[in-house]
Amino acid sequence: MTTATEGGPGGQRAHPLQALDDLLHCGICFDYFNIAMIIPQCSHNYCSLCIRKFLSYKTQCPTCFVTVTEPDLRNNRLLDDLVQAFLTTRKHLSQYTDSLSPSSLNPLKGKSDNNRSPGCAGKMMKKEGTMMEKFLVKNAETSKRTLDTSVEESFNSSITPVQITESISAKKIKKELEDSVAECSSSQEPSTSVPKVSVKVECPVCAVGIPEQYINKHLDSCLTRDEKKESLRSSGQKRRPIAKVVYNLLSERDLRKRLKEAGLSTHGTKQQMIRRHQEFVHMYNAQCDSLNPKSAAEIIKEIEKSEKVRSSLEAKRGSAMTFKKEQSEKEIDEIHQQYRTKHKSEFKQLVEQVKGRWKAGKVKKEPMAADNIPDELNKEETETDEKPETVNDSLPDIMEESFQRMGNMSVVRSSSPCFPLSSDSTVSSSSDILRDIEEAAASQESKAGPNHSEPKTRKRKTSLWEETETKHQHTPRAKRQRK
Amino acid sequence: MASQNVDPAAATSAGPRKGLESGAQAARGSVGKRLQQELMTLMMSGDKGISAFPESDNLFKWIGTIDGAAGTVYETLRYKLSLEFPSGYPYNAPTVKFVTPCFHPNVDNHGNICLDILKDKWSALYEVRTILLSVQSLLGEPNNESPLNVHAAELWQNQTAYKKHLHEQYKKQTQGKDI
Repeated sequence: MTTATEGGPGGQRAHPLQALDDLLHCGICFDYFNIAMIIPQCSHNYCSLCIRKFLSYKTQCPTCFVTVTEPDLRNNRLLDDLVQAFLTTRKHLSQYTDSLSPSSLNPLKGKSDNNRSPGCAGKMMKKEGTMMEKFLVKNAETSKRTLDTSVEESFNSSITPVQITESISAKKIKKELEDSVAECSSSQEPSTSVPKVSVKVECPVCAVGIPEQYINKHLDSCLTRDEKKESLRSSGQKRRPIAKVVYNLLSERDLRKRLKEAGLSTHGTKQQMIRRHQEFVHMYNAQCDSLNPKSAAEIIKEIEKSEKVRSSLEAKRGSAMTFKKEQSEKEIDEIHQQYRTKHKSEFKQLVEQVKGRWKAGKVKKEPMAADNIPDELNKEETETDEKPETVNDSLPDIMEESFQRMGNMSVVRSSSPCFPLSSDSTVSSSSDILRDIEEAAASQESKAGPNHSEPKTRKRKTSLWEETETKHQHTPRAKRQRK
Repeated sequence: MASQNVDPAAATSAGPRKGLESGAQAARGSVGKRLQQELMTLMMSGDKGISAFPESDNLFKWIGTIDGAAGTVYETLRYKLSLEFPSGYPYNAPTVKFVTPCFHPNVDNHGNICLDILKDKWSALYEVRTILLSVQSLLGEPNNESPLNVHAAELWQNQTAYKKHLHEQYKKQTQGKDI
């Protein structure tokens, strides 16, 4: 019974709030609006940064495809305020529901409180009402009286059940209510024109968190105190957006100059520099729409951070071995050698796995046709998936991937996909790997038992070799099929 | 399906890599965040006949499945797709391909899909859910004006023959595979 009454209003409330929540999200980043901009032609709204980035790809509204250019965009500050107000409200609401549910649930279980639970639910609803009232009043900043009475009302209405239950959580509510009363009265001060009360803003000059209502005062003192006046003036209140640059028409030297002007680093390729500058322009112009824009230095810091992350990600993804035309065969072999020593253990694992597979499916694999490969791979995956995870989660992946890599190493150097055995240099890479590992394995085996003679290892080597070779030949095909 | 051409070094040592990647995603912000949001809405929406999930711990590559819509020749058939998200997502369209071979006028032998919203009509508002729904409706309503698979486009006129051929192909190509 109690759970039903609890769930009832909760479920009902979740829905309209969900709709409201959705409406306050930007369609591009799926996050709450951040410096919302409206397209006057169609009245669609997006974050400043999102829509500016989008317009650099296509000059149209992402929703209705009406033609838009960046100068058309206008601030929609109401949405920003709405987001802030909604977030504060949501926080408060969740606090109330969190602290209420135990107080209304636990004591109710023991006693016969069928008539009290609706009271609790009612109180919650009331709470919501007063919350709404509260920030409406705060926004309007008009009658102090309404606020006081509403707060009193809410206080009284919720204090009765609290007194009855007398649980710890109930005391919590009381305290919270007192806090909220304090908050409300503090918001009465005429200086506040913002709906949020306890928001701290970072001072752009000294980077110290300051309550929002005091930020202007603080800024004044901060600026007169310091010499940073100049730097802030230049990037401060009356910031003008940076003009767009046609990067294709820019020489590398001019680009460097522009980067330097903006205070960005000038390392990397032209492509990287263009990207860096473009990102800076987007972010800077987006911040120009804000009431208190971030300083250029902050933006640069952010860009550098994201660049670092991206480059580390891309390095992970990039190919491990890159060859140039000018490199001699010796150099290339050297790179191979390094690669092999570096990844010796992984190759060893691979060979071990192949050995296992080869032993298990020797008969089956003989007539293996190209068409069976994908099946084989699938099966392999499912088989390995069933293994306990304690071993190594991504082991099958490693195997597969490295195998592809082994196949590709030769493909890179010879355009023929069917792996010519005659060409020494082509084969060297993977055959060397196998040889290295085979040697290691052979020495191990000879230690383990005397019955492993040289011919046997040879034989195994060739069959192992065949195995890899079939992989080789079919990898492109299998790939194609699996695409 | 393992991703191809991946450096084994990058794939080893699952522990540290995982940590790095999740950290990177957090720092990377917008794209990862948006994809996470999409995943959540997709799972919450409970759309019938479509589903998608990241392939591994890499949030930038997903595997999706669509069921042929009821009332079309593709009814009862299930197709797997791969979705790869560029770092410029959602400003750039993801690469969407059929993993399961698909006999369809607008799908070529390699699984490439000819769909305007994946190419020039892409908008940042489209998401995984809308893509999958579009591909699902494309199955039942092909654009025979610009076919990638001419044979399929010609056969489309004769729906019974098309259905027969389609199901034969599907059976042959997906035999023994787990879909």
